[in-house]
Amino acid sequence: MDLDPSAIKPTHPSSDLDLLIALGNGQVNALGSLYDRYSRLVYGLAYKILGNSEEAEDITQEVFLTLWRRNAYNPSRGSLSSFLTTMTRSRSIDKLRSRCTKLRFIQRWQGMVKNEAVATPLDRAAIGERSQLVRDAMSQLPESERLVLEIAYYEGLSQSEIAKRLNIPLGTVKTRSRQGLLKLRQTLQHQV
Amino acid sequence: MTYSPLPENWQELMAGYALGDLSSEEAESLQRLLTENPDLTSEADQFQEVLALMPYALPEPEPPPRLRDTILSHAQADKKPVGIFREERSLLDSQKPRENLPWRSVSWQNVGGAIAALFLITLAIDNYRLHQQTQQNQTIIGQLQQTAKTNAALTAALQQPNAKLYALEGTQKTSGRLVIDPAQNQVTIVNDLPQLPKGRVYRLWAIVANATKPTYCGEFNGGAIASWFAPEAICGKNVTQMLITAELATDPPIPKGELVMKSRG
Repeated sequence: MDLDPSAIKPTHPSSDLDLLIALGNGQVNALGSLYDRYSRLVYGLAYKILGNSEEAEDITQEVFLTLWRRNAYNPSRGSLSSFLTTMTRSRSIDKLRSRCTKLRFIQRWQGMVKNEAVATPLDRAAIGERSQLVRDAMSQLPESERLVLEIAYYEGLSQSEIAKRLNIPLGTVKTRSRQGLLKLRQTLQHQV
Repeated sequence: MTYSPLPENWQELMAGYALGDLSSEEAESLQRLLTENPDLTSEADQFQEVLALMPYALPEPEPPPRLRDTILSHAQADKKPVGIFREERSLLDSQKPRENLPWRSVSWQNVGGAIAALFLITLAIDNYRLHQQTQQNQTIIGQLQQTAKTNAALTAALQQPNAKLYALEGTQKTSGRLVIDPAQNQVTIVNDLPQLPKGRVYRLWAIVANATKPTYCGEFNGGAIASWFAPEAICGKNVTQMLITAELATDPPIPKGELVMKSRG
């Protein structure tokens, strides 16, 4: 019944752990392989949060060079993918907060409209498969739950800020986001 | 060992924990739950893993191709120790007197010496690489041992009745966990804050309901884990938030320095 994060890791010739050990040994090509594997995920998330390619590039560079320089990832605390998305999200939201002007906000939404038209490359089948699983799981959520989860995750708003934005009671925000996450876990568990 | 039945809303509590929206009562229920059922810690981690999967649902725009080159060339530039070593070798090679280069003009004794020297250099490089690899392996082993140690310390602290657990989030992408045992007034903190220079310390403060100023709850200096007895009993009672600041060790116990971490929720 348990959801094993490694079970939904994409299968590649070298495991993340092998590449991380090579990375620790100073092999730049291991960083290249990890970049090929996760750069679209990292860049795509930074782009979604920040809405412009220049800043998304800066964040992507920061995230991969942090992985290279600091050896901060601890396998006992979760998957590498989750480590990278968590770091990307946190740095992007910090950047977003630091420049929260109206103009940028408009640019961000314009950027997102453009973003919708970008096709997902199919050359990385394993990551693509994983993306499809998560997309299906997200699409099965009721709209109201998905919306609350997405605002919390991509905009970093607190529950009370979300309640204000959507003009709904705080309790409803909590219920929707928790229910959404519970369903997400349930769906991904069944499909994996 | 017998476990109490799980409360009906246990999964909801874990979802709330992953989302960072637990009320203080809910946080207490979750602490009790995890104390009584330590196996459930992995369940809590799984909720965080699922949340971290969300970006997979996004369209994945292709980063510009030059970004890969930029990142890898920065990484390559970091590899100074190996680079310098190689440069020194090539410099030595180029400084050899020209007449020594053709093997035929060198006596066999010299050739033997040159081969021996080359062999020693190769050996030195191999040793250097081996040493580097050993160091890396030792680092990994050290990290795993440290993780086991911190987990054991946290589990022990959480097993105290009424122990309070706080998830800490840093202003500089750091994180940690704080456990306070109100019975013994013991504080245990696991964190990834950098070590501070001599003369500076991290100080822990409790924001207590209805109090006009933060209460000083002790100090530490980086390191993965620290434990001490809080100077004030109030540190374990009616706390609405815990804060960590970086201060001068000689300063009086009033928060003046930079805020580096705070408890979530």
